[in-house]
Amino acid sequence: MDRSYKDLLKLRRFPHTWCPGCGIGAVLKNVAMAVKELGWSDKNTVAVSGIGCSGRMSGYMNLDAVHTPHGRVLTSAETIKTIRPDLNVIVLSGDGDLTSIGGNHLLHTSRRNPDITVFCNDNEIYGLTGGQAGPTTPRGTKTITSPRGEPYSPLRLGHLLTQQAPYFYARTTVYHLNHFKKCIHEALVWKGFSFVDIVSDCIELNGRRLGFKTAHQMFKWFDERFHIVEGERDHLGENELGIARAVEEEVVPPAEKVEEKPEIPMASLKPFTLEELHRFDGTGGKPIYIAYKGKVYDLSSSPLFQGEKRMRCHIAGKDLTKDIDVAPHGEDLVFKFPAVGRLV
Amino acid sequence: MKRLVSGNEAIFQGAVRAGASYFAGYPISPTSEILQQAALYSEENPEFRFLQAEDEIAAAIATISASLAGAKSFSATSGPGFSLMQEALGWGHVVEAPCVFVNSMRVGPSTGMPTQPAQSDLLQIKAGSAGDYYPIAFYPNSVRECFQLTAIAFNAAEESLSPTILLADAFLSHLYEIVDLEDTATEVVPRSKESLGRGQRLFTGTVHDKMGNVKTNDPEIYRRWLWELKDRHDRAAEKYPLFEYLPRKGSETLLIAFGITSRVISSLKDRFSIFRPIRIYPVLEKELNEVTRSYRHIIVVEGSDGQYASWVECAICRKVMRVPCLGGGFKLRWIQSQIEECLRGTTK
Amino acid sequence: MKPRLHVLWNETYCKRCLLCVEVCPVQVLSLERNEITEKEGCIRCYQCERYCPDIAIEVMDEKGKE
Repeated sequence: MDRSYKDLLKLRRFPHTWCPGCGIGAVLKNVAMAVKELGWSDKNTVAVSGIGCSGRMSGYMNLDAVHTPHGRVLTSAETIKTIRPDLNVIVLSGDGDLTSIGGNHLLHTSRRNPDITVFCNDNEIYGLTGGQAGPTTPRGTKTITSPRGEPYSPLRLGHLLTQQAPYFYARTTVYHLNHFKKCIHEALVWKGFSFVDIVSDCIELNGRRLGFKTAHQMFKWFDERFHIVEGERDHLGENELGIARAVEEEVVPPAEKVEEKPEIPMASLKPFTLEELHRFDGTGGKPIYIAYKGKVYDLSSSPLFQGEKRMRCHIAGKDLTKDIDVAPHGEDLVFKFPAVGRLV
Repeated sequence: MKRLVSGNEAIFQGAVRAGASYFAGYPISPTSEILQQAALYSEENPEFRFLQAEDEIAAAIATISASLAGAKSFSATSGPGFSLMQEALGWGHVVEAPCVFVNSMRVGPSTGMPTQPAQSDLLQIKAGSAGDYYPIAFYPNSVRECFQLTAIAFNAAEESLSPTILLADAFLSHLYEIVDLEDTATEVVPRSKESLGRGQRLFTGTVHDKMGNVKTNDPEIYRRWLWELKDRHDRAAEKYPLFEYLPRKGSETLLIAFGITSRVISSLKDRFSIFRPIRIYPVLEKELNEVTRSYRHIIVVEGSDGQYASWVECAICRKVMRVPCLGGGFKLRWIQSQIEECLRGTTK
Repeated sequence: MKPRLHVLWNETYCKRCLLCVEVCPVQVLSLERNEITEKEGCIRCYQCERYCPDIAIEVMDEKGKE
């Protein structure tokens, strides 16, 4: 068994600060393993973390680490990647930090898609402050701030993060170890914003209130609740563990049509008087003509008139010069149609 | 080349001159132009990066993080946005991140009167974030000074290893003057902090010892840390005892004003002596004591309800009179009548 | 690191969360007098080491060198 990952941990500060059986230790250890396997070192890797129990993770890593104010971890990580694209930036934080106080930053950092990897220790509770309900606490869970059971549905991170390609969202648990390791590895090598939602146990401040006696009993509960789905997925269901990812949708820029309309000399156009023009209002199968800046255009092919005499505020058979000048659209809409005459 | 330059542009150009390569901000009047300048500038200079953040909280955090990552960085905002930035300002002091925050003040609290100029964020720069900290703040009163003091603010940041603050007001931000920025000399202090990627250091907002180990139960470590911070800031601030003093022979009255107010009352210099502090914080204690000694009356004219006046009183241990220009009202005639009233009150 | 029959146990790192005891498929580990002890029968599956969140337990190599 390869134990070289220990180089990445500040063992002189061990035992670490978390409660017995806490899942954060497992997150720290497995992330360190994956980073070591990829051959990353303290010279090219930076760990960034927020506040909370899980925020202490970066301090235990033998890497340059940044410990940000509560919730601001993603902005900080993104900026570090912007300034130093040569560094691998990993974010080690918790669900309260990332999704509650840092929820706005989660929305916008994921939208900007920087190449950072986020490990979210999702223990469905505020652990450090004593076990208050958080945005990921399942509905009905009794906590010290929801004594009758959490009244609201939890935040569906999977749905939130997979709404716009590209995305990488993995859900795993600290119990499904092989899957857990695979998710960490895949997330680290993903180019772009990758988010690993690690369902983790907080036995002391959540599990015991739920009736579990040991961390292992919570692991068994995870095993009952979740099942692994294999293969490439677009989305993960409520109780599915797996990886949902999509590469960037190719944005095809609209081909710019360069239409060269030969300039028709005014004199060669058929002259219309206003009364004559007025007859071409589309009624009785007649074409729809309008006048604009002295020219008469045939709007019969317009899908908007559809044989009607009136299209919103524009009336067929009239001089629409003033209408179009005050319209929210430009005059280019008129020029799409053939000029058939001139107004005299 | 001489040309028309606004205060906002001068601030941006001053930052570039000082070597800034990162700007993060959020649109807010009256500093949106700095954000726009940054966007345009980064188009032409890819080594200059900028972020239009989702809010001022993110902008401020990005500014500090960019500094940790090795860039000279800055951000600009106005009063309400500056309130949101306070969290990062405190963090910047603990992680020792040199950078510059520009606060162009407008009438507050809250949304206040957008966008009327004010000078009422002085207490906010000093005490907006939690705990004790000692920021350095400068306040120009012309477009050329906007340029110079931004560069100086960057230098002071590098020397104090902390965020420094450049104050301005809505009036100054949108003030256009003919200046030659290219010809304006500035000194540039190089980057003093090693960037990320050296390995094994922890930059934490929690109080820590020299090794970066978090220590949250030792008052001695906190004391040592705070005195060191204070000492470093004092030494950096001492290098910039900036002020302007226009004595008027025979005048018994000294007017103290800064920023826009100092420009408004400059025409009173034939009647009164005028003292304009440029380094707003730390307060120019020694200089104020020396200057105020020979005056019977001291009147602080400022765009807030006596924020700077209270600092002056602390510094010189003496009561001063106040002319608060509130709600964006900086009319000379009104100020003059208030000064007269103050002086009448003392002769009764 | 205190050697047991097949595992090394780190007394200072260990917080006695009993995960190793409970994940062991052959139940050779147990907590006695506040110490992790081991009885015969280890099948060297490494589950205890893999699951330990505190890096407090290691399975020795075949030769018992580690």
